[in-house]
Amino acid sequence: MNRQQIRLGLALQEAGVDLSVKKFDQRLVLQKAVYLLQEANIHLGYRFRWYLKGPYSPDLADDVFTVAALPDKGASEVANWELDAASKKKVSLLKALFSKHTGPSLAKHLELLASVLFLVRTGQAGPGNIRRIVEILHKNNKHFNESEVTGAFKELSSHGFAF
Amino acid sequence: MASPSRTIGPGRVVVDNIHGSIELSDLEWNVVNTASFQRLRWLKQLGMGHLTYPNATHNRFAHSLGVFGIMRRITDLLSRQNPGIDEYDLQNLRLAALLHDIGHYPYSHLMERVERVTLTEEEVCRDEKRTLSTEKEAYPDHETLGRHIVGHQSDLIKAIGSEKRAQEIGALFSRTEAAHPQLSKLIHSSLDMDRLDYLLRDARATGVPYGEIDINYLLNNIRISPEGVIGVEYKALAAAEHFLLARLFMHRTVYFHKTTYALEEACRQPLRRIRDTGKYEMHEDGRQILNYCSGPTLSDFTDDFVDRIIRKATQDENPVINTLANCITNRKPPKLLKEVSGLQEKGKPRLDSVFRTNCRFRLSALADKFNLPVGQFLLCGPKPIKIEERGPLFTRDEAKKLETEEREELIKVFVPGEEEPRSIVEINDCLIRLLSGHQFGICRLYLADDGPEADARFKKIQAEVSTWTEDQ
Repeated sequence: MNRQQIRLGLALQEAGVDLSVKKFDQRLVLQKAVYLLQEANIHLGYRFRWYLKGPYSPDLADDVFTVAALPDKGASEVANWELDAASKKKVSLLKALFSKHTGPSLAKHLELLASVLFLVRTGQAGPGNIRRIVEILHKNNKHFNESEVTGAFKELSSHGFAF
Repeated sequence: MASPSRTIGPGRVVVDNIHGSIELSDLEWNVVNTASFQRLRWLKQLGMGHLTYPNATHNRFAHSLGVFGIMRRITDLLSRQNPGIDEYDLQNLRLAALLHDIGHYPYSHLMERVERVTLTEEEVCRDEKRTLSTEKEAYPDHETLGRHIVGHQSDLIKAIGSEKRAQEIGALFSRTEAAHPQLSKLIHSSLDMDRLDYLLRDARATGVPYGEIDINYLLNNIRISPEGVIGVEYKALAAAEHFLLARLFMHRTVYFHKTTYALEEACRQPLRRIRDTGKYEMHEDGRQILNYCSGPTLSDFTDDFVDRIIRKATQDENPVINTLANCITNRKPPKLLKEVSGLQEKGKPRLDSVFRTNCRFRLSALADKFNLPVGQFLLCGPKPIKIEERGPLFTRDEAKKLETEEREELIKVFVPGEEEPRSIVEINDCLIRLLSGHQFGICRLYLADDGPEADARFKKIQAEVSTWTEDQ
């Protein structure tokens, strides 16, 4: 494992996100969780682009498949490392985001949060422009309504994301 | 501009050794003549490939023009087939093709991916716990940096015409928004213009024939479906398969060449060490890179930027840094002790897992035995290459339920009798269908040793590691 993969493994461990890739929902959760961690200044080195389900990183997809195929999912290699205290603290502030739901509903919830954040952070919509965000999401076959998007903003703000 | 060019009324023609005449409009010509774009002349396309293939000195400037030239042919074709397509969008696509590499680093991916470099002492097993921080922003990838450059360099904004349009073009090649999802695939899908150009250009420059794809047949058989999906006609299936296999062969022979890779690793490793200490003006994090590339210093961000660092590093007090730096300046590549490589199904245990485990647990003792710093052993390997890069299949059965996100980027083929094209991996008589779940990976262990009796020592060490592919 290279340092980036080790850092990824540690951050996911700390965030309580399972490194499983068998089901699509699990992979989607991994993608959106890492995006949200990075946007909270936990720098893991992945680059996200806009795909069908919102922000997505092909490099991250490669890494999670690689690490998941290792004996014990790389746990023995990761065991020699730990995140520094400042990083652990930052991850812990987001932990609740990943435990509020489970399975497909967690995937859908994180898809909403990550997509809304991506659209705002890349300047495609202002944070107050809920209607515009819903419009872009609909254009991309994501059927979230205004109240869900408003809720997403509230939740992101409560976890320290600034707009 | 030094390239042969002539005026064609409103616009210019540049003569390219791969594609022949390439026509540029005044706007496109003005972009080419900015200092920001001219920087690409000083970035070699193949990193350190010229140290193995003497004529591989071609640069990203010529490649960018080549990609533009291909995009021009495609947009002309699409415009003829679909008169409704907006010319503004098509010109944005051409500009995005022209500028797609504007954010490349010195020696390209070598410097860009320095964060992914693993130092051998970090890899080998030790008892004490080590700490990693997430404070430093990684270097941005070249597309992100390119978008930043297009949005910040005043010469480019002026040539493009407005900040808004510059941002649109940056968003197109860095794929930060979902505008024109189908057209943008001409830049990002498996059948992207970037690959069509670099395979041919690199094949001609190196003299290795595997990249000689049938570009004219492919381009002449591209079509857009009623749903707006771009694909190739079924009769061009063999050309599409050849294109994907050509990429695999070029990686095996040229891009992963053991000598080139050794020299590049001998450069990556000291760069990572130097970056960690902030010496020799090496940027410490991504924020510094973005600042550096926002102003006139961008013009200095060429291969020579790394060459200067490596020259200084030859005198560094750290023996690992100076040994590796001298490997490059003296062209004495680290020698290959052992290689484990092969084609395997994705998701299966890695072919190199036994070898890597042995390295992790035994390299430290081996280095001590021969009184060498463990950092002079380079345990490395390129990212595995997939047959259909955009289809991260991990078993053949997954062919129909690929990672949804990347499925959209597979090459599409128009099967006779069907209006919408299918993904190439869904076509029964297609070779790629059988191979798409596979990837080719390499793991190598090199030794950089310029001490007395290095040759004799190398042979002894090579004999010791020769059995490290077996379970101990």
